[in-house]
Amino acid sequence: MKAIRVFLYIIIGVAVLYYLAARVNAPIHKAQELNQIATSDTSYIKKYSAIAKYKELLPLVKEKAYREAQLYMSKNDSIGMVINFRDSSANLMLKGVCIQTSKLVDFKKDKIFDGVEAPAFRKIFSKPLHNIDEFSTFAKVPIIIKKAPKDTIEAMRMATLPVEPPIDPAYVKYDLEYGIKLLMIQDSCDTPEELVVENMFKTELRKQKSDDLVSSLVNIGNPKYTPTIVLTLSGKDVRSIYRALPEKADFVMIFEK
Amino acid sequence: MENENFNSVDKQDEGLDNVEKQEEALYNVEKQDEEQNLVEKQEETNGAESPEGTTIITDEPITEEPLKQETVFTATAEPQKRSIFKTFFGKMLKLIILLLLLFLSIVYLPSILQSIAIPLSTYRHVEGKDAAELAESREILEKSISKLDKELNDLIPEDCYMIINSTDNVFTLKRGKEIVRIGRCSTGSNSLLESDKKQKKWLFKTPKGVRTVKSKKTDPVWTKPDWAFIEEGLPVPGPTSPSRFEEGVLGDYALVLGDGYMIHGTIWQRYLGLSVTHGCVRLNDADLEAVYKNLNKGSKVFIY
Repeated sequence: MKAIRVFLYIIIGVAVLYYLAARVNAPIHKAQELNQIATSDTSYIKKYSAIAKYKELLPLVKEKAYREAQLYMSKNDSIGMVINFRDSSANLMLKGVCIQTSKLVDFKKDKIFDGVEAPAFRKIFSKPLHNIDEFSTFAKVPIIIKKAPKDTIEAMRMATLPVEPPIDPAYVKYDLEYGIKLLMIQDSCDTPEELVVENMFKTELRKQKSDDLVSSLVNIGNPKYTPTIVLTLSGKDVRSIYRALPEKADFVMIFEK
Repeated sequence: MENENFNSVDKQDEGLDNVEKQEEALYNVEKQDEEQNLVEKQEETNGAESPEGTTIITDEPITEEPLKQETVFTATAEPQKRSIFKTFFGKMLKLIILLLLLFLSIVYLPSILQSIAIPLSTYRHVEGKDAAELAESREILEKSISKLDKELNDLIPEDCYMIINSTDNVFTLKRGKEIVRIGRCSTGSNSLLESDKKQKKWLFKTPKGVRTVKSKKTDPVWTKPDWAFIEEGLPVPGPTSPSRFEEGVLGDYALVLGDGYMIHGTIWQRYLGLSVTHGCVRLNDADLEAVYKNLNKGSKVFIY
């Protein structure tokens, strides 16, 4: 009986250790993958050998990268978003002009970004990150279809007073380049409908996270990991940002020094 | 009689002596029993396993006094240990602690380990030690940063410009980074009008992006497009028909943005703040006047 108990403890211990190893290995592998984007390019590394050599230059590299990305984005005619982790704000930019600033109620940034080195940081973040796919819990353009009346009598009958559109719960997911995921969620959940939508959105995310976890457990040598940024804003801000951004939007990130 | 009496007294004395002897004998038997029990207990203790599972072996000769003390100690300590670990609550406590440790190692420990491991794992192929090279690189970077700052600042218009939020129906008039005026407006209703005749469609949407003020008008006259008649169930007149032209509905001023879009006033001021227009931007009279005075031909209007 005692031997069975000891065996059981060993099995649980080994399983926990394996789980921890898989969980820790997944983001490390992803960070190395991101770093290799720069290190695998020998001509690039040769060109930027100084920033590769001196760790002290990383804060300046970060400063330069986001300015270059903003300038690059200003050449585009469409609206882009600048996420500033320093002052906790999300800014909509159009032709280099800040057209809206929204205060982030909260944000969660993946630890993986602390593991990105200067050459890779320069290569990845000195240009805006493009949006590959997106999902939201509300319509981007809430279009109402109206049939033209046949005569003035029908037009009179059809005439209605304008009303504000319904306020849907605001949860948005963007899949960006380099496998980065950006989430924008509303800060409060007051109605039962909002709770239902929030749960559906979170279930979808949990599903993706568990898929990643299973992948990292099964394939520890080459695990799947999705670096995630979660921005919490007021519902009004989430809606206005999402509706302002085009379908293939650009994102610039300003990280801490 | 006296002898008889004396004899009876002697007998009584003998009887008393016998009782005392019996009592003494009984006491001795009890004492022997007690001592025998103590020896037996000592033997049991020496041969028994301790609660931890180790056998106590002693080479010291067994004496009466230490025996008694040890026996008393063993007899009182053993049940106390059993009461803590062998009880139902003790077992439950152990299980809860184990489950808690397991939960913490599954939920919190990975993120703690990740935050330690990720910075440690970063790849650094060469670590430079040349101070002059570092200073030079730093200078180059700082110069390029200040150059980029200048370029970014140059993108902000020095003149007055207008920002229109078509989701919340608010506008901001700005000069540089300074806010001149904020107010409500009305923008496109995002409705799609479908006509049976010729299968025409019109989407009433305010276009997003940057536009410039093409021209400024006072007392503008609205030239009604086709959809204005179709929407009212009226036949569409010819392009020069007088019914095409309507005065007073656009307010005192209008700023033309191109492609038929304008910033103008409205007679439906109670709908300001709502998305009700056919794509133009409506303002109240005071805001319209301020915008008209501050924006010039060529001024930028940012719509999102």
